[in-house]
Amino acid sequence: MNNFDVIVVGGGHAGCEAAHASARLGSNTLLITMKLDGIGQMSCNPAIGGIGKSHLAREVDALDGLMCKAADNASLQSRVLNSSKGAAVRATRIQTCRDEYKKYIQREIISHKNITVLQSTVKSICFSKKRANGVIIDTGETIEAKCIVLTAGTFLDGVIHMGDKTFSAGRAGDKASIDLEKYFKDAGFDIERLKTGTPPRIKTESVEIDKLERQDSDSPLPMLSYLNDHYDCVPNHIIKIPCYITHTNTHTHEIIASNKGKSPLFNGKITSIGPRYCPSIEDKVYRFSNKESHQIFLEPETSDNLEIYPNGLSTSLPLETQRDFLRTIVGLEDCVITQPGYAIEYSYFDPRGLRSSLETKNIENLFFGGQINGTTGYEEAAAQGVIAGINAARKSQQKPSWTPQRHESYIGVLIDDLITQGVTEPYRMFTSRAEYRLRLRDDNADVRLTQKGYEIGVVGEERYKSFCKKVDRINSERSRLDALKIEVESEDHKLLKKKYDLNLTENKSYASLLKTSKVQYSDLMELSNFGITANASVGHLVASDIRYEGYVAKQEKEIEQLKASYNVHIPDGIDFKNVQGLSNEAIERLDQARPETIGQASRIPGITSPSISLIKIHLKKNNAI
Amino acid sequence: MSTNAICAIATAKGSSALGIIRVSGNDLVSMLEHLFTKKLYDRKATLTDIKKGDILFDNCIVILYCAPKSYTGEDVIEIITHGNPVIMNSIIDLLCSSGVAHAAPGEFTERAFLNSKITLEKAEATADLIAASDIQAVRAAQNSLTGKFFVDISKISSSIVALRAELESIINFPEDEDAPDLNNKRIRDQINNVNNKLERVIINSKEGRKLNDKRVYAFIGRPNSGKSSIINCLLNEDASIVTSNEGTTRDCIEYELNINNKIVSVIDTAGIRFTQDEAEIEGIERSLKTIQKAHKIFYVVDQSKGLNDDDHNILKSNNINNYHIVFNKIDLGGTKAKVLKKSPPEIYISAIKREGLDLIKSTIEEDFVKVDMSQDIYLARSRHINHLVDAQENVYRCLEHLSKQRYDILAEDMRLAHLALSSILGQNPSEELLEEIFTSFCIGK
Repeated sequence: MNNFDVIVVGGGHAGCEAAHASARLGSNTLLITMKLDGIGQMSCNPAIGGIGKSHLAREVDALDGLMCKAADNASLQSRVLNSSKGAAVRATRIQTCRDEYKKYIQREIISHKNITVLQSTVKSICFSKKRANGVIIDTGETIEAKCIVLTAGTFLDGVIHMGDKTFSAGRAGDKASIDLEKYFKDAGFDIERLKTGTPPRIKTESVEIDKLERQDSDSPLPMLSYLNDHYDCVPNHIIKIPCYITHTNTHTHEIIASNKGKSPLFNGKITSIGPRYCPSIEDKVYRFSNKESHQIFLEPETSDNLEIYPNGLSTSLPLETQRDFLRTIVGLEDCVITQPGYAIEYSYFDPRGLRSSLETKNIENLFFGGQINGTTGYEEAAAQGVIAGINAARKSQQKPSWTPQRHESYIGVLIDDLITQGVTEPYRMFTSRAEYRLRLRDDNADVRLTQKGYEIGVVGEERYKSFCKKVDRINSERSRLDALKIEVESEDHKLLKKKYDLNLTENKSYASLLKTSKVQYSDLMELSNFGITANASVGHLVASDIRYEGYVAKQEKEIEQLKASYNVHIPDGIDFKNVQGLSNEAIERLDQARPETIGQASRIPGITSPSISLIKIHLKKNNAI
Repeated sequence: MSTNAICAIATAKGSSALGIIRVSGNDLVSMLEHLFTKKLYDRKATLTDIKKGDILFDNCIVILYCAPKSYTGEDVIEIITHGNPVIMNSIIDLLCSSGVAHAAPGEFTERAFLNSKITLEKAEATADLIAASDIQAVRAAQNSLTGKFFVDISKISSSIVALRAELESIINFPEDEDAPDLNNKRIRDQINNVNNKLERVIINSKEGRKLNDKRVYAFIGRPNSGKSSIINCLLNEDASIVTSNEGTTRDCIEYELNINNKIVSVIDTAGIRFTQDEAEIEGIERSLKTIQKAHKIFYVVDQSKGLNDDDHNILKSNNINNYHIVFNKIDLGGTKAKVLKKSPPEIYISAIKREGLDLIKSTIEEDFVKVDMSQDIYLARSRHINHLVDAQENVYRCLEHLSKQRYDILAEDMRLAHLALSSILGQNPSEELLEEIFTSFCIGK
């Protein structure tokens, strides 16, 4: 077992996407995991997608990644979110069976001809002259490779907290990776601590669901992968299980408040920072004490429906307190806990130590992906995984790196934010982080990325053909909507008049109707003269393209203008102290982030446009431009 | 020889008792010491000859400010010469022959900014201070320097952040009961509120801008109606004439006139009449062009000849509307100097007898923008006003998006408005937004 192109350390969402992407690019890839059956494990909530997250997931899919396909094949309940707020912020979320999900991923990983899987623990990375060239595993053996991708999740010196109990673990039931954390610390990497948490799991039988509000899938069933949504494939449908909604109440809050001293979050045991958008129930009760109730979603864990994941109740209170407050909640009066909730502290690397390729600036050929870079969420991990995998493989093939940019993708936003701003809390994607949100919809990720993916080889022939078919459909539907007119003297006009107060004085194309009025594509589909489209999803996509055209064109111009300046390369060895006129604070911030381009530098917090001018002038003076 | 040194005449154009030439660059002393007969010391005034070979240019006071303690942060030399344009220009030529370049407009201030001597905002306000044409404009410039403008913009920016935080919470946490409800009326009220505030700042900024616009008055009329004599009289009565460019009677000549501490331009033009003389036709065309530039026109008529069809034709064919008729040479007819508030108003004067000139001045003075400086008039840069107008357009469009329930586009226009204000304030808008969302709303399931 030796001489791999790429070794991926870790089998979570980042690791699997990294290994599979590397394998798709033809690199001989080794995936090392501490537990074979942990490959593709969903450690926290049993769902893929959501606002901002389905955007990321679908970009991974557009590069032929695994996540969306696995989710579609493991769907228990699927919904479209924000359906009435505009296409750019619409999103898909799938509650999945964690077992089916994992099985799908494991099948894809283990069966791939370019992937070898090894159950082992990596103790250290081998390198010479600041270049990584292999790993040392727990048996003491060395395995060589051209590039290493580290995706260790929460396992780096993970410590679980529950009430007054504290123990070392990567997640409940799994060992932490302590040696590797110590190794990196000794090697001089900037390591910090973050915290996250998970709720207790409940035995489904013990929940009185009849008392609760039920939430079913949308119809037609939303799907995440373009294969199933736009390319006419059909996933393996499994049993559908609804979610249920309940609420905490003042009794719940009293119990939580009176046990504040027992929460490691508040008694000083946990000092690291957790995500504000995913607060523990203790956090919500203490910080927003004027709220009398918080909403809880009861989500099925698997197709067997043996356990329930009560979303919104992440906690690190002692087990008996967890039981006490759960039992004050409607529907959970007699609930039985199958796994206690807990908080976990783990180590992460300051992502400002990374290039946009996700290669570390310290050590060549070493790439970091996923939660170890300070992010949270499966989709965020997968997105980094696919890029780290692509770039590790490309580096091993002596090809230049590729990372999509901010105006092309949420992946670009994610990576650029990480490497320029660093993190102060676990980083989660929000659509508001993307300045080009109107372009980056979750229905056009393939239009944005698949062509490029095909060119670099991460997207295969078959998928590419399906993609081209979709593009043809888009183009022909677009010309149809431009040409087809709604007549003033028509039944259709009367219908729209009634519904939307629409009053046309001349015949108008459907395209201009979509652009200027409230009318949606689905409304047009009800008109008798509208005709039939090949694929309704593609029709909606074209309608959105038409609707956002003006804004997208404006952004296009802005992007074009900024491009020349943003792509200016800043040499690796630059000493910002030599840039005349920069304040000490600016020098410090630039030194922390070591930006690779003027664009990256301009997005570092506290770096103003005058500072950017100074850097540009400095580069010009030294003929670096 | 390649250096970064620049020079310019720092005082106003034209003759005066003293003139100042400013030079900035690295290692000025070694570069220029051969021009001075005495040695220069840092921050000391030195009386020295400026010479090249045997040729004496002038006997001047020269002050050296060594880097970095100078206006630009580089070595600066200020040469105080006799205020004769010929002398000053010859010294500039001398400096240029020693490797110094002519400074581009604003280049000294730009260098001061690049060397961190002043902030971008200050650099811009300083440029206005130099160009400010009266006391009120100077005060308005100081208003923006001291930050009244920025405080007001910050307030509007905060309102936008609050609205964006609400919108983004609704968009990003759709299932969260703890996120704010989608309340169209409340959003509409907030949009209107921001819109009104922007409107007010824009009006105030434009007022400030007007203060800084130098007003232009053109004197036109047929030949020999006395335009040049009137202007000469106006200028002679006033000691603070700033400019008088050389010109012929067949050309337009622009003068600066100080009326009650406000500088205005008065333009003497070639007499307009039908002619075959090519040179004269060219002059007349220039006169007519000047009309476009003028804020107001004084149409000068020889009272003894009266207003005839030619005059009416000139006024009509050139679309001249905003004008006063000045009847000159009243001494010939025995009329008294007076103003008749007709439409158009008539002013009766005699340039030769110097009668009624104050009537022209007071007519000009009536035009001055009446501004109460206790109000929030800022001297915003046109860059600022452009950003403000952009922001307002974006905010205005939001109302339409709201009615069509296009929340994602609404959020985009709000973002653009925020961005526009942030570029005035020099801030990064993305950082405050998430902060606001998480402190205002309990979010996350």
